[in-house]
Amino acid sequence: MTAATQAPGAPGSPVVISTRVDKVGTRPKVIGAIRAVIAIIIAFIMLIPVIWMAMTAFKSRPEAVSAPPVVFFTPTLEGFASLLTQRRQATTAEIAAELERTDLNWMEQIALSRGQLVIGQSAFLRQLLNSVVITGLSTFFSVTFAVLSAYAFSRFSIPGKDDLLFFILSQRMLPAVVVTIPIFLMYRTLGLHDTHVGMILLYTAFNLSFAVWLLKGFIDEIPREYEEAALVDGYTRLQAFRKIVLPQAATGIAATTVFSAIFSWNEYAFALMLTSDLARTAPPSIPLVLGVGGIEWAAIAAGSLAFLIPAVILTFVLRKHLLRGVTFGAIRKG
Amino acid sequence: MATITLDNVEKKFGEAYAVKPLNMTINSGEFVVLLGPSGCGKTTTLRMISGLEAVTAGSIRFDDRDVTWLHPSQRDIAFVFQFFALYSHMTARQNIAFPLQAAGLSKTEVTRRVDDVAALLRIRHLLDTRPGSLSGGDQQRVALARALVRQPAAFLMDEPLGALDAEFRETMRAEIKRLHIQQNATTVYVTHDQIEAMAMGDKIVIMSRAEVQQAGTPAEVYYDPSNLFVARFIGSPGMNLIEGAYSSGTMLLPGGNTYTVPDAWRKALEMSLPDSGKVILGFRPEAVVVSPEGALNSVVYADDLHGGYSMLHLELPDSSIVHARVGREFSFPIGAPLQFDVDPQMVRFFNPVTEKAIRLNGGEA
Repeated sequence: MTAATQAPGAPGSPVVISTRVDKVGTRPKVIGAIRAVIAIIIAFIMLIPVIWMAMTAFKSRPEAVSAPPVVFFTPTLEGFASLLTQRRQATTAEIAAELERTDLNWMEQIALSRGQLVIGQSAFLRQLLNSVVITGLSTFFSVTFAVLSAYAFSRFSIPGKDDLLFFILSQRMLPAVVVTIPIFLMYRTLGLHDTHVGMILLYTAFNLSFAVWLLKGFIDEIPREYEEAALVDGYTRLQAFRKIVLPQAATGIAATTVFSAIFSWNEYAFALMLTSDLARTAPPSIPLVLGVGGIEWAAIAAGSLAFLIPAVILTFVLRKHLLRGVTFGAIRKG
Repeated sequence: MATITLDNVEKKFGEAYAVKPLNMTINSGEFVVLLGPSGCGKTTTLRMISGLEAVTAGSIRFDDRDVTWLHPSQRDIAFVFQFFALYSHMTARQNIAFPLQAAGLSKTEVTRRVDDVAALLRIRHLLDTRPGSLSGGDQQRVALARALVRQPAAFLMDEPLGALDAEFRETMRAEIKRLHIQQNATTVYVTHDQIEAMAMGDKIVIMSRAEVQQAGTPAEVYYDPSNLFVARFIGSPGMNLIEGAYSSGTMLLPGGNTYTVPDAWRKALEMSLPDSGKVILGFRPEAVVVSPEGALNSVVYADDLHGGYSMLHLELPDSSIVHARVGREFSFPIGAPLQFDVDPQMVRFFNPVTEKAIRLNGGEA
């Protein structure tokens, strides 16, 4: 009697078990699912403050401060209205007059519902714009200068190279709080206090040390043969730098850009001391969104949320370069 | 194609010589191999010819053009690197077109020349691929195409096969040789692999310790090494070298063997040797003639069959080992006594003090 004559599953038929790992379906699937759940839980825990902030931004004033905290609520734009406007308490007569009007915008309507009149725009949008300009330009300058000096440090024999590199690093050794006062005095004398130029200069200098070190590491990784091949193929060193080194260093440049931009974007101590009005950036102003009669938590949360968005966009745009940490080079290490 | 002339070219790093003053002429269309162990200065020499390394002293000429202080891009050379140096952010086509774009050729001309060279190297189907997804051999073909596409004054190759698998190496060696013949291109090729050097070079320049040890055709460096270094370095295994004392036509070898020096050599040895008569006898493994009447006694130490031939390791009475290449049909038990002679045509002598070869006319190499 052979096994083939028996019906499958019949008593005495051979038990066929595949021992190939890739054919064993259930276990990897279970492990994959467990991993995904753990990842989601960790992500959730990490994101709780951000989620809470986003929720608070859409809460009304009583909901924002209520204890125990409210998780389910009807979203309102009150916080944003408070963030973007300056208001004053209205008299009964003014409220009656306002109620007659039909051309009120959403911010005026929200203010009116709280018995307030909009008397002008707040400084928040201008401060956000200051942040964008100062962050953008200081990042551009620090990354540009850093690429050039990192290339020089990486490729040429410079007298006193190690000392210079250490000197550059040492720019970053004192915490901002320690050096703010002398810089404040210097800036006041030089007329750089509360100017865009002053802040761009400061953030560029502050970011440069870190950017040079980071980029030097990336450029060191690019084999010299790449440039040498371009040199013998008829290109000047500057052309080789532009056509070969820059594309190869794209990942490093992207990473440095994100780090520099996030530093300048988030910087608080210098901005608090060295700007007051014209060049004031968003970080020191957000906590100072004072409402009429009490702290406007919803407005502060709305400001923080608006402040978060550009950083998210930048990271999202450069994510491809950030993730592709390795270049799939055609150079084989021997 | 240019004739390359190096005139007292030297390179120093601090006080140490990377290349001692060196004179060399590479004729137009010649394939010259710089061969030597690592750190001997061969790559530095090549890089000085390319301009990637500045000379410390001396001058380099391409034909009548003094290029000593020219930028690499102005020398009109192509360089093939050991690790290919293909740009990973460009396709194979863009890589090959890269040097043409530097020369500012028109788009149609660039496309035509890239297609031509790709056909020559049989890589047309790979032109739109990025180097990262090519095999080692194909990467090297693309690198060669990038060098060939410009029709430069000279090709400089720095161990171009060093990063390839053994199997590809054979194939690519033949391809490079064939390309060289087709293009009649002046080529300077650096390698540490003597088989590659013997197989490819019109001329081999053997370097060691920052100096040229010998320059000559593959046959010259193999059969007439100019010093002990070359004798040991060329051939696998290298030349058998036995030190002994010469007096009136015979050489007393350590352990009691007596070797009768061929008549042709006697005068030369008597002329050039010091009073002690110390001399080094050298012969290639294939010069050994095993025969029962052989004058030299030995014991079989090991016997390896290499397929086409057998390599005998013979222990002389002083326990030094001599390698002998014999037909594959011979096989000897280990420990068996064996007599052998040396083909008188293939015997060479070296001065143990100067380490140089003694020539038949009594002079030294």
